[in-house]
Amino acid sequence: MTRKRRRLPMPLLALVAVLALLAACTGGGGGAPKAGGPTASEGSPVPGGRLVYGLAADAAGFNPVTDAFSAQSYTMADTIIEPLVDVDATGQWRPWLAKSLKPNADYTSWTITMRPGIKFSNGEPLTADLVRQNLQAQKKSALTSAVFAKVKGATVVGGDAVRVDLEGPWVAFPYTLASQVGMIVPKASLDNPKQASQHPVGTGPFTFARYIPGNRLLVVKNPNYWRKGLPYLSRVEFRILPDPQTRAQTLESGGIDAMASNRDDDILKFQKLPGYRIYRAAGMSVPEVAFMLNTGAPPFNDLRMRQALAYATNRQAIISTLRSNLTKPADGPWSPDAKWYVPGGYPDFDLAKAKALVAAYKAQHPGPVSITLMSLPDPTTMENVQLAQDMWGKAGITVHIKQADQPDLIQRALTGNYQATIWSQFTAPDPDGEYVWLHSSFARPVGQISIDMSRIRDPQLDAALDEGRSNPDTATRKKAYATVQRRLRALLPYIWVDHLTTNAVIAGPKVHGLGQYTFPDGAIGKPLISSSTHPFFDIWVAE
Amino acid sequence: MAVILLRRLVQLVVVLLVVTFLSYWLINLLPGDPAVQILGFGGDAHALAQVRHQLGLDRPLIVRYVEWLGGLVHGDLGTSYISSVPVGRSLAERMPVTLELLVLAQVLALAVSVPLGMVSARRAGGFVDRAITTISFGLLSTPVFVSGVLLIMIFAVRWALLPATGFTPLTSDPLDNVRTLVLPTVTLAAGQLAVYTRVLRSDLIATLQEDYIMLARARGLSPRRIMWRHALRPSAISLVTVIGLNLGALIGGSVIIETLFGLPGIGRLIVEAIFSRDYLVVQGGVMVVAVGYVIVNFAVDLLYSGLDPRIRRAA
Repeated sequence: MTRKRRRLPMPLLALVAVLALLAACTGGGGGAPKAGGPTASEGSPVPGGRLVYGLAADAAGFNPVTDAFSAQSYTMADTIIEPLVDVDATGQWRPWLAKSLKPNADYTSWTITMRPGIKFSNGEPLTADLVRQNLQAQKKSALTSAVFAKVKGATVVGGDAVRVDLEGPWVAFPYTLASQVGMIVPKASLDNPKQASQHPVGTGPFTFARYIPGNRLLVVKNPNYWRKGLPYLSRVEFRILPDPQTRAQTLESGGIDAMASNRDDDILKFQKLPGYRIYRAAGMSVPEVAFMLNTGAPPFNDLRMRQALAYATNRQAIISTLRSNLTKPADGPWSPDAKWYVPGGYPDFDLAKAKALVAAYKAQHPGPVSITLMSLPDPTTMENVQLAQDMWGKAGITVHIKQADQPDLIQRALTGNYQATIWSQFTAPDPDGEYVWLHSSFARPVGQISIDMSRIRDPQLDAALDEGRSNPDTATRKKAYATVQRRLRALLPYIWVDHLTTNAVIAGPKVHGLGQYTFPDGAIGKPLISSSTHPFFDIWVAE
Repeated sequence: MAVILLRRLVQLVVVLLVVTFLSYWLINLLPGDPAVQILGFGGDAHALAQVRHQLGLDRPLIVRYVEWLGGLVHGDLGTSYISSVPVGRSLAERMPVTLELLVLAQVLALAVSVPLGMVSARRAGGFVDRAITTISFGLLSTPVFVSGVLLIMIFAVRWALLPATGFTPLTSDPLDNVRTLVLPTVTLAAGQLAVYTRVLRSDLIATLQEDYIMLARARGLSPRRIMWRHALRPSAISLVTVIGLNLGALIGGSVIIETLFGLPGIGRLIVEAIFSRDYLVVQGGVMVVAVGYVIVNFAVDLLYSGLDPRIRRAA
């Protein structure tokens, strides 16, 4: 195979970003290894200076209650608005704005105690009652209400704490608060959501200064930030540069200091240039590329056809052709460097077995086996699906490729109006974050909106997901998620391709401290959160 | 003149009605709607229905369109479904970027193409003419996304003379504004100047064969005077027509240019709105483009009579 290597296309990454929102919103308790990237000491921080940061797309608003947060939204909004909880370098949740989170004995309620003395940049104090109002607003929001479906309500207790009551045990609930549903805004923002959407206010290390939609967001140092001595930078300017090639050229020419990237081309290029640092996604943050199959409709309601595709897919060939060998083959939603991962049981490439399975299917369903594979319309995604078309064709399956843009593809996935589609997903910090995509309680028949988009229904899978959600014992949870992986490998609602470790942040020579942040209690933070976002308060610039 | 203006106004209204309705209808035919875009994968059936109701998407298309027209009469283009920002404000923020880019590209294209066309026509078939023709075809056949990347590579990355991307508003820093627009303007103008050069050369060659030009030569007028005073004006009619008609192509080109160079212009706004099914933003953007197109071509019609006295007399 001598085809030119390719990056993963932006639209597919946009899908990842949207999926990451809900994934992050539904997390559980886990452990990801430290993300890849420079770790050596970079000297003493230097206060002051400006950082210019390139992003592929603008945010669709900065209000965590009303606006869907993509990776870019998190990158920008995190500088201003902070969450109650964040995830540390081991993948464990830790309090951020909250002082502590404690469950009751059966994990059916969590008490969030607030840190004293924190104020928003508009002068409003951060109180337990305000946190309660934020959580209630999230529960009512059409955008995030599904995430809080299992939340009964929130009550202020003891003046400085909020008790969140759940409909059942939920050991991984705090992970939910590390996403946009746990980001706390002042009363003024809750009262005027449209204003908050364009002019965010929070407790964060920076404050909003100027926003030109589609062009740039400027944030400046919050002099009253509750973590003394932080941030180091005086200002951060985010520039929206949609074209990946010119974004990389802008970094190279010094027009920006750092950028988020998802291209293997960029990794290959900048790792050769002196002074540039590349921070790559790792562990649970890494999205998996797969072909999602609609198990609720023919022909993929027949396990043999799903097995045929798995045997017919040469993952290593795709990786060497399209990813410059920078990624590793996937066999499930979690990568081998995550503590939840268990190996084994996924079908290796075997064309003879694939042909035999197709023949067996044909014996019961006479006539040619023909499927439609959905793709986003950009050329690089098309190369992915064309490669699959070629591989599956050799197994005797005629593949028709159908293009759809992102809203169309989302609609089709939700309503089951597809047979197979290229897909990228699974970035939650804890396996419980994938609950809604895999549990049959979220599966609906074709034609109805189903958040379990593959429409897989399996009692063993459900039981394992429920066990992982409700049992606080780590060993038991590991066992449960091992079952989840084994069932996914047996049932094959997804034909896995690779762990997309090409998501990265690339920083120029003068940028220091990226990916080395600490929690208020001194714990080390996770360098890259959910693919390629990270905090900015720990970064400094020095020539 | 008043009659012409009135006629044009009526034409403008009809064009706007047709264009805005068709664009509204067509984008509504696309699968997926703003509610799906807003909620992403997290929206269950109830949440989707709730958002659709909030946005008024559960009402018939024609009702929504008529309501939009009603708002338009009062200067209200609606509010973006996705960002909640008034469409008029978004367009007003983006308009100067695209307008400046288009004007600068046109000025540059004309400033280069007019002398080139004249030189080329004066020695038609000669070495210079052949060289200009070859370069023109080269520019014409080079897509803007290729020439843009090439220019960035040379002037921003290699020589570090100009910024690769970004935009500074004219009001913030005029010098930086010019710096940020040099590469996009040159990229956008390159294709246009090739067209203009070809059109002008062709008309000038024909004009230079006219009897009155022969007479001017016989009277001993200098070639430069003949070209500038007697040949250029009547040869410019096709050029002016092409400039007017080219506006659509320029706006199309500006979409790519704005994406490539990270400029927050109207072209990019419309494309982003289409992909997010932000119907009202698409509608507002299309209306602005249509109005601009009609006005520019009206100005072109007026210019005809200035350029050619025969047209003025006929009118």
